[in-house]
Amino acid sequence: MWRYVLRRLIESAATFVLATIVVFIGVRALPGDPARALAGEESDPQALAEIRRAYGLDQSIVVQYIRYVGRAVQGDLGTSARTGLPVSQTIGHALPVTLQLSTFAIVVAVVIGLSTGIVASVRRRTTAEWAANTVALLGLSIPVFWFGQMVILLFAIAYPVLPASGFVSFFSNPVESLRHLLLPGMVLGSALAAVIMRQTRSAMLEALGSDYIRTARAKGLGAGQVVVGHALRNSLIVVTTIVGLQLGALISGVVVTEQIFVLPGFGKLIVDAVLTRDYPMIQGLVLVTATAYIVINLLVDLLYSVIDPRIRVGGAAL
Amino acid sequence: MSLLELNTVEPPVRETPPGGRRRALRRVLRNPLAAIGLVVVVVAVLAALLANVVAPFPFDRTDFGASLQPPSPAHWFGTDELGRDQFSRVLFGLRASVGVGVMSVALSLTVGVPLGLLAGFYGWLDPLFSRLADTLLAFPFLVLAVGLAAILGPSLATATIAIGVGQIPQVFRVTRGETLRLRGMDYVAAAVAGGAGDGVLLRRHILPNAVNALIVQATVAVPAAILGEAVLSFLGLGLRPPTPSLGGMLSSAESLFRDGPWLVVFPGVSIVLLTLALNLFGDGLRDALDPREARR
Amino acid sequence: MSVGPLLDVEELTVRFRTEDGAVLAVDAASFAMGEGEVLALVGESGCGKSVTALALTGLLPRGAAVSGRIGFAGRDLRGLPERDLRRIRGRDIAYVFQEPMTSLNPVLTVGRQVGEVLRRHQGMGTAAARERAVELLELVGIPLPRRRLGEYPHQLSGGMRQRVMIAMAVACRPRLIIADEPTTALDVTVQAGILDVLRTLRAEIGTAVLLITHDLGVVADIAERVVVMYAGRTIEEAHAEALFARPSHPYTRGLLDAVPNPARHSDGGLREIPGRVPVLASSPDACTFADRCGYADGLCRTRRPAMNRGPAGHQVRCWHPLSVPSTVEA
Repeated sequence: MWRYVLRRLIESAATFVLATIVVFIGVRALPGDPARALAGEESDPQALAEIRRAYGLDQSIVVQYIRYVGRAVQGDLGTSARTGLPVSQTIGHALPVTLQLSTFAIVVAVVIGLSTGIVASVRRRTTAEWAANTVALLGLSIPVFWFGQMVILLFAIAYPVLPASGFVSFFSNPVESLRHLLLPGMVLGSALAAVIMRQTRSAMLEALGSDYIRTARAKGLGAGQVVVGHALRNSLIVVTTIVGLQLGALISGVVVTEQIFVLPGFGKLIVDAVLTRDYPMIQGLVLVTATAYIVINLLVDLLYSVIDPRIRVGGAAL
Repeated sequence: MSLLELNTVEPPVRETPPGGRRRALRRVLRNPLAAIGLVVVVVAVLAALLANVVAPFPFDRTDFGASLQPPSPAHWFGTDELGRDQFSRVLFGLRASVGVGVMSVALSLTVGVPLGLLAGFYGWLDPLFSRLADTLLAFPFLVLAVGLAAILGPSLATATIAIGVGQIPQVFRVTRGETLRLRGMDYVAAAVAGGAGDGVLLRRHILPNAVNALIVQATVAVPAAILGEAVLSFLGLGLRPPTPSLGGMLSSAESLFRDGPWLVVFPGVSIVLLTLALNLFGDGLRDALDPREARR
Repeated sequence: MSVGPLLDVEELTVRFRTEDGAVLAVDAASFAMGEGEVLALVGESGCGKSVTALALTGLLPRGAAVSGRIGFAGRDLRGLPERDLRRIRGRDIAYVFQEPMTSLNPVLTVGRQVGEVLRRHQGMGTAAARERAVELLELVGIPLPRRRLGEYPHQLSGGMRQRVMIAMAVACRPRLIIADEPTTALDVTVQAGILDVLRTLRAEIGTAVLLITHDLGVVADIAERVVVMYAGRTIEEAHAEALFARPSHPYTRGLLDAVPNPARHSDGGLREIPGRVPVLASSPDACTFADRCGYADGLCRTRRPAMNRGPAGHQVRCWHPLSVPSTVEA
């Protein structure tokens, strides 16, 4: 297993380096002169040259890259061109919002997706299975932002029960926080729940049709033991991998959901940053996002290797 | 949320014998849901392509006397604040959706398949290409799209490219996986023993058998692309007004929630129906292509 | 054989609904076994023997229609509710399946899988189950049994996996073990070991063995009595020596002739039975082997043959059983 871990670590590191390079070059490819953007109204060539020197924009790209990475590793992601505040600080404020929203959405999605997936796989050819499949398919077909709009239409305007915007941190007031997170969390988690449900069902069906399930039944084990102890154990491997892959998609969904429900998280930051050509901010945000994605993938892969004894123990004695 | 990254790694599709694809199609049509899906898709695509002919009004005809009308016999989907007929606009919007959906998937296939074939076939290329694909994956689709829009300016082409590029890693992975699997097959070894060169192997033996898995990939990718286009135009990164796009219509409908709820309902429902129909058909096609499933 | 047969199958019929229509997998099969007896159920692939085996304890998938009587120790298993069947499975009737690679759960340890049966049927606690599992693994001839407890199936060889399956099967000292092609997926040398284990266990525990196989070598090795199946019907039943020495049904004769034997086949030709096993949707009123039989006549094609009882319990379902002993050496 350690060879596997080592290999994955190296791969992730390589991907990470490539990603930072892409970010760096990509941002430079954006139209508009960063010096001019930083200068604002000033267009005096002298002042521009000053700014260029101050921000190191007159150095070669390679040098700029190295300096950036060097500072980034120490936590300094530069200063926002728009607000003048340190990028890391702004991101730091937005992070909890996005994290809490995402966590809530993931929890909801896993609980609903897993349970409905299991039920759908066990109760074959019944109304329950058909209904679950259809709902899951719907979940995959509904654009998140429209779902959000309709939900707001229904709950916040037609039957005002839950707030349609605003954020309260879970750690300051759990009840109010959940009230505010409920709608956006459900909206964000819906597509993820649909994917989980379908993957669980598919993996369970595959497991339930396998020989070892036949053996388990032949041993006289009860339905519960067969489904949970045997089939589910095997399905979880696949499901975990899939969920890990989906977390990247979650990031995209977060952007849109935060827009609609007016939550001061990552999403808002990204859109604002690009529209105002705030390079340091763009760089910082994309870097953090890419890093998070790579780290999560790595963790999921490692988790996968722990769950599946074939990888953990290895050594087939054939 | 864009489904683009929700493309999941499905368990590999087993081989269907040649001619099995035609039988599979017939089997699909026996499945009522899939058949309905196909019918809806065909109707929608036809309506979209023939929008010029079918739409009762031009999409930019304003009529301030009839602004913000709820659905009526004159205006099936109602009108917006400028008096524009929503039904016509939805039809034209569908055109953009279908267009982007197909073109982006075509783009991802054009780039992803050759790369995947090469990576699966030539071991020394594999690490390099796979790292590149992983790097691309590390950027959430939306971030990619936002970046591209900032460089190229928002437009239909930008959206197509953003979505297409976003799907390349998945196409690459599927193709690479299939190539690796098929490379070990006996008939490939037989062909090599018969003196076949690399090109012939790839073109005549591996690629045709990888098509099944790619079809499966496409059935997931097209609906995802349509949803992606909706998201992008909603955020203003895709098709620019006055050309209507379903996402754009929903975006402008936001501020008119209370006055004109139908403005939010119809474009959204259209997206959902089209995507749902595609998904139903895609599911049916997937089930039919997997010979193991057929026996259930 | 003492008080009536242990297993008494009467007119067992199994129908499946498939995409291409109905399939009649087992057609009024009948046979019986006594305590401690080794009966081989023989036939080619697709003759219905595996389906029969699964049907005995209700392990067929939903959608299978089963009729007939399945008598086990006096009870009819066919009508029993699932709850009662579960009590019988693993405890009174146990299975050993063909593919040890896929028949064991890859993510659970050997110890857990063997212990499961013990905990379920004998209410043992975890520690007691572990100890007993070690004993069982030793019984089936697995070296270093204690270490095996914590290992996973993929760490064991094919032969060892099959021994684990057997250990699971005998854990509760069942009265009947149903072994479905237990050696088919294994190397020839390993096969002998597995058959040895089965023989030993039968001697020590007195369990009866219903051996499903298409391998006549295995039959000759271990079986006491043999039932031959064709297209879902039981067509011949006899003691093993009698079957090999005097096969009565043309199909059985064909099967035996088809086993390569340098002495008999010195003319260079292997004897095949022309044609293929039919897949039927319903039971025709005719002999299902008629199309491939060299001795078939009008009667064979128009009337379903009844079981013809001969001496020493030798039965054959044929209008024209061969009375001439074959030239096959048993």
